[in-house]
Order: sequence, then C-alpha cells, then structure tokens
Amino acid sequence: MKAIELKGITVVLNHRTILKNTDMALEKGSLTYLMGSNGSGKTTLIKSILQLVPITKGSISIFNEPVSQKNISSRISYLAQYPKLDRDFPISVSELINLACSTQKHCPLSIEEHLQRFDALEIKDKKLEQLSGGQLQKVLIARALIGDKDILILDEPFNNLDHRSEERLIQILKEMHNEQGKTILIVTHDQSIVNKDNDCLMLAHGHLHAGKAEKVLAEHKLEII
Amino acid sequence: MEILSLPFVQRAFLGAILLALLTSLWGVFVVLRKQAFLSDAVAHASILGVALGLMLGIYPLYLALVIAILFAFILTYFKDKVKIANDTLIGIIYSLFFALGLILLSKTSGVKVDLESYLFGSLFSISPDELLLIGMLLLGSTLFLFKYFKQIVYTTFDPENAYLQGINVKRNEYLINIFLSITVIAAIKAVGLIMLSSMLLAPAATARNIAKNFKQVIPLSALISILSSLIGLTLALLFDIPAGASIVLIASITFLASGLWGKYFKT
Repeated sequence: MKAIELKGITVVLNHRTILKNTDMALEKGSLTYLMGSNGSGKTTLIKSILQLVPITKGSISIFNEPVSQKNISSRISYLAQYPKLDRDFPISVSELINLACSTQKHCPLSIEEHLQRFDALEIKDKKLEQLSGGQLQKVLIARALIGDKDILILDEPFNNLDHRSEERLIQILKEMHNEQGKTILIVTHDQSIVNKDNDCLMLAHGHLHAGKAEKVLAEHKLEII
Repeated sequence: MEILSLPFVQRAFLGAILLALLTSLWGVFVVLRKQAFLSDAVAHASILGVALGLMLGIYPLYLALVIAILFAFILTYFKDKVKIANDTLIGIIYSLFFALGLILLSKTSGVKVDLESYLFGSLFSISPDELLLIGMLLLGSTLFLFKYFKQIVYTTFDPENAYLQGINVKRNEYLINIFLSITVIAAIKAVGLIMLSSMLLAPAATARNIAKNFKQVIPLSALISILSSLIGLTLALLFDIPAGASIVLIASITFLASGLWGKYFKT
C-alpha cells in the first residue's frame, strides 16, 4: 500500500516552474531519503504534499485518499527546515511539547519521558529564546515526533545537531521504522547519513529519480556536489 | 472616602476593573502576535462608526463596534490575498475608514464635545448600559478563550504547524481580530482613542517581560492591568486629573520598570 502518492504534479512559484509533471510513491513502512542540490525543490516538494504550497497540476493522495488537512493532521508528522514559529514567544519547552500533545489523538509517552528520549529533559523549563540552535532543533524534533502518526516527514533534521544528538536521532528513527513500521521520508543533502540499502529519491531539474540509495547516489553524484 | 459612595465613581471603578480584565486578556495576544499597530488602526477606523452614529442619531459606540468588526473582517480576508506586508495593508485600510469618518464628521454640525469624549475617554461618565456591554464582552471573551485557548495559542505561536495539526487557523484569525476589535471599541470609552493602545499593550508587554513561562503571562497581565487601573483611577480622583491618562501613565511606568527589572535583576 502506498503511504504517499504524487501523480503528475506541477508546482509553479513566482513564475518559476519548480516541479514539472512529477510522480512519486512512498510505500507504507519505507524509509526514504529525498536528496538534491540546494534549490532543487526538495522543500517545495514536501510542502506541496502538506498543502503548504499550491500545485497547479496533478494529484496527491495519502493512504489512497485525496490529500486534505484532515488526513495530513491525522497521518503525518512534519519537521520543517525553517519553522515559522515565533522564537520570542514566552513559552517553555515543556509547555511547547504539552501544546503539541494537546492536538494529538494519542501521545505514547509522557512529556518528561518524551523529552528524556531526545536528551532534552534538562532544558524543559527554559524558554525558547534561551535555547541554542542545536537545543531548539532537538525540541522541534521532539515536538514533531510527539504523536503516534503513520508518516514522518523530516526536512533536514540533522541541522545544528552535535554528533551525539545526530546518533541518537538516527537510533530513534530506526526504532520507529523497524519496530513501529512508520513510513519515514528524510530530506537531506548529507550523503554521510544515508543508509545505502534504503530507498532514495533524487530531485534534479524538476524531475525525480527513484531507486535504492546506492544506485541513485552513484548515478547522480554530480547533482549533490 | 465619601466620594466612593457616589454612583458615578462606583461605576468608574467597576468599569475600570472590567476593562482591565478585558484588555489584559486580548492585550496578551496583541503583543504576542506583534499587532500593536492593529489596535491603533481599529481605534482610528472606528471613527467612521462614531461619525455615522452622530450623523444618524444612533448611539455612536454601537456603530463603532459594527465598523470595527467590518474592519477586522476585511483585514483578515485580505491578509493572504495580497502580496504586501500586513502593516502596509492595515495602514491603507484604516486610512480609508478614517478618511471617510472625517468627511462625514465635517458634514455633521455640533459634534465637537461628543467627539472629544471618544478621543480622550471618560471613565467617570461610563453608563450602566456601557458597563453591561463591557461585562458581556468580558464574559464572551472568557468563554471563547476557555474553549479555544490552546488553539488560539498555537495559531499565534506557529500558524503553519497549527494548520498541520488540523487547527482551523484562518477561522481563529478572524475570531482573534474580531474580539480584539470589539475590545478596542470597549476601551475607547474609558481611555479614549489616543491612549487605548497603551492600556491594551502595556500590562501585556510588562507580563511578557517578567513571566517565566506562558502560563504566567495572562494572570500577570490581568493583575498589572487591574492594579494600574485602580491606582490610576484613585490618583485621578485625588488630584483631579483625567482618569484615562492617569491609568495609562501608571501602566506605562510599570512597563518601563519591568524592562529595567529584566535588564538588571533577572537571571
């Protein structure tokens, strides 16, 4: 079964065609890397799935149903590369996670357990404005993964993370994929974190090339240098 | 103390407390949404309602309320429709409303005295009907925020993520702007069009400065607002100075003090 399916989508932003007649399919329970050079349209592709940018042509479905705010909110967890949140907002880390949990049907762990999982328990009483870039990234990842959703879309999740936090996140994602059967799409330009046995999508010049990571990376080496 | 037994003084104190609660509640969202200009704009746009009211012989505050809601609706509708900064859009639309109001006023004779009460406010002339209106607004705002508090906070803090969590962000923005506009109109009577921004913003901004987390912001804002109003009103009675100005003075000094507190004493 396909968790996400895009058929012939075209995205035009500011009179520039970013995606042209693009097809994409993510099988349920797959772990896929979406790669491409800067400006190739990776984030735009993700945002079109999430209805954050409009498509001019084509169709998108989530578990065989046309995409809608309802099935996005019930099925997809999303981490934005540049979240549009207000960092000056006087909210503490635990309040933020609590707020995110309040919108979920089910949060598998308590707020403390969840923060502990991401090595962020010691900053739970800090306000967002007091966090470093890496700490904020950990908190935002924790927020994105608070619910128990079927699909995780993470746009450059390793940005600002130190090596220890990066390892921890990879471990958590592996658990979610292997043990809980989550469908995971990771947007990255960093080849070093890509497991060569997983699926890979390479976005170049508005077209998407799919296959096993090892093969796709070998064929499109120049696209990500 | 004898003066406190006078009905108009009692109404002024009750009105000050109700308004303090109402403005502190929405003031928090005005500050956090960085919409300080919007409150000022609503106040100026409502002059069209005041002018219409004076012209048609209808109680001006009622028509100001209608115009303020219309203004909020137009702004929210056009926010995502036009590719210009929100404050530019606000500036253009409020000027349109204000200009229409001034043209109507120029064609209405004998309105100078009435208009002054809208520009500078007068808590001591607040009527039982106005108290009832403010009380109803406070009740409505409290019930609304009680039911939708987390949604409104999420919409304010991170609208994109709120949308992805299934929250109706656009509906919430309409409701926030409409409630804010109604609150502005309610506060005009007390402190006047010129100073109401400070009454709305200063207690909330002070609370934002000293709160350790979001849970503390609204209670602190309400407390500061009530204290500023009561102290300001008492000073107005003691020294025979305008009540609105006195309240705004206390609220603004408290805000400046909170800035110093944040700079020198907060860890």
